Amino acid sequence: MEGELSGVLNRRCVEAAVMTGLALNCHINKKSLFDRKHYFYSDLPAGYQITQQRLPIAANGHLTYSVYMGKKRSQMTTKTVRIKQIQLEQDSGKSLHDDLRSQTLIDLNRAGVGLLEVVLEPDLCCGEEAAIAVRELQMILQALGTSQANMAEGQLRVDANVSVHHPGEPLGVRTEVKNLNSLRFLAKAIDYEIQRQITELENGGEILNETRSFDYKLGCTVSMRDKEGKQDYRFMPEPNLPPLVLYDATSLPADADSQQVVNIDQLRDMLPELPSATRERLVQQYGILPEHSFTLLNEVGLLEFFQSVIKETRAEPKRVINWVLNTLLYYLKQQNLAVSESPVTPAALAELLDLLDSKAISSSAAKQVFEELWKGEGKTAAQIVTEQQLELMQDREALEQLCQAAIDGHPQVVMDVKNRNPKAINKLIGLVRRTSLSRADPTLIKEILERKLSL
Amino acid sequence: MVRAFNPRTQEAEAGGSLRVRGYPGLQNEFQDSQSYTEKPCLKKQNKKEMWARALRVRFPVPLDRGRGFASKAGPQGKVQEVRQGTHSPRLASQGAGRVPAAKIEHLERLALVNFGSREAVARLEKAIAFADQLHALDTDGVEPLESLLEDRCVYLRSDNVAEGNCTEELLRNSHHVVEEYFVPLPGNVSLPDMVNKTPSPTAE
Repeated sequence: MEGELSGVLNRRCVEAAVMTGLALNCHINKKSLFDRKHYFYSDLPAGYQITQQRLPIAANGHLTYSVYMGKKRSQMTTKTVRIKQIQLEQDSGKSLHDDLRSQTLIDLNRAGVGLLEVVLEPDLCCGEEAAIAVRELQMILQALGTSQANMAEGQLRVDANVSVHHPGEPLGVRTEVKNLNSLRFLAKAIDYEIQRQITELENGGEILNETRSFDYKLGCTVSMRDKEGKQDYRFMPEPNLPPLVLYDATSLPADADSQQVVNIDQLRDMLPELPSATRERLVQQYGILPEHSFTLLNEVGLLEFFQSVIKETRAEPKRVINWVLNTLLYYLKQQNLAVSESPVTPAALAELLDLLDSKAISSSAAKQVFEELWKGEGKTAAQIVTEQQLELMQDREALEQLCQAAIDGHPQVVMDVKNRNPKAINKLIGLVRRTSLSRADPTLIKEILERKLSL
Repeated sequence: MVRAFNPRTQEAEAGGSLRVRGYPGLQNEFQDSQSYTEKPCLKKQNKKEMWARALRVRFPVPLDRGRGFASKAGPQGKVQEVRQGTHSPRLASQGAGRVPAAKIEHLERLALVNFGSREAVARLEKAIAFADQLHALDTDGVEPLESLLEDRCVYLRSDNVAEGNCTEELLRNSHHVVEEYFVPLPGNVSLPDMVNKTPSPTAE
């Protein structure tokens, strides 16, 4: 094999880079170059990192994300952050600080492994926006199969560059914030840093172009600056790596070795459904709202859960989404659980919704059943209904009698109803519900009462 | 003195030799058959084209200090090409220029090189002057040669694991190891944890 002088590049890295570039609407450079970035650190044994500084594989793209505004977060706006470039580079090793023995421990397992750096333009205005944008990027990378993008495991690492300026003026001096290993900390760190910079400037101070580390325990950024001042990376072309050449349908050479040829057009055709398209499809397919679609994708595992329930229940998607988002998700958030940790399985919820759908139980009874299912004691919805006698009364006559009894027993309320007091009817319905031990459908109760009172 | 460089590429020390394309005589260190034979590239290179381009940058006489140059004398002075994104100090040398002490310190920190003596600094200054002779060249309309591999495409290998599982062997490279981690000399740490500062590179 040729190449004593020439280095070698993993093809999968190139494909991943092109697909990510395409998904982020970038221009793919058919020829890109490699450079060396020099600096000394114990996790970089060679003293330099190979990167693509002059001419990266992709550039000038954008990432679109949705922000929910307003008090109820019901107004959705679309925002865009520009992608400056995507470059292939080598990873460094990993350093751990052993404070006990005042030493640094180095793990070189990932040193030299290929990675993609996505550089965003400073179009984001606050921590929340950054978190939403990065979340979208995370979902895109996962959909593409480029990365599992788990921040806690270092599969996706984010460094935030933060600066402040008065509107209309140029960008201020920026600081780089590192050690952000979750979306929450990303947002927190950015907001802290913005405030710190504003306070500093308002007090007549100045912002230093430095690197800061996010201390998640204290919730603040701390200077990592050392005395050496600004780094000079002494970029130079990587002598051992020839240019990376990509092809498309028009430039594809006839006699080329397919192993050596990366065809941009072919990869574009192979792009899977991206999150934005998925969200739209869900809206069309299930008749749910865009906000619902957004939440389904945003919460890990929720879409799969929802789709499992849909498959096993007769209930309408609109009803399913209501229970999944307003009940299940609510309970999960209350106890800070992931969807995968839900004590209520899709099958259990599907069964519950079937009971509701067939009017075997009322919706308030259904909530009770859910509460019981949440305890995770292994009982089915049907079992709980029987145990707690939550079945809806099937005896219409018995219900009519209860309604009549309520009317007879509460003449004052009846008077209010007849006087068109809007709250009075609900009071009456409530009375009947109590006497029926919540085993009657409120709509039916209302219907009977209204008929009896000739309304 | 600590240095990191790849011995196969252009040398990093002062007074290193100069490589000129299309001038085999000067390439004795780089003598390999690859540059001038069939390139395993996808497009066959027109040899005549390649040589024609190379001849345009040909030196009328071999570069040597002290000898005169022929015809075109380009502008002397500052470094012409600025790399994007780097903040390297412009080492403007005028004739037998002196490099200021502050710059020397900066270079020492960057490269972890110890210019311990006045002679070493003088050698650096001479090396800069030597390299400055390049400015005699008129390179208008000629793309810089950044790599001898520029006409090739990088070889793409398939995503298969071919080697590994040699933990013990690799860990044996270091005399200080803790639970399968390498332990380096103390270096950059964030300020609140600051127990050991970077030792002065000149204190060897």
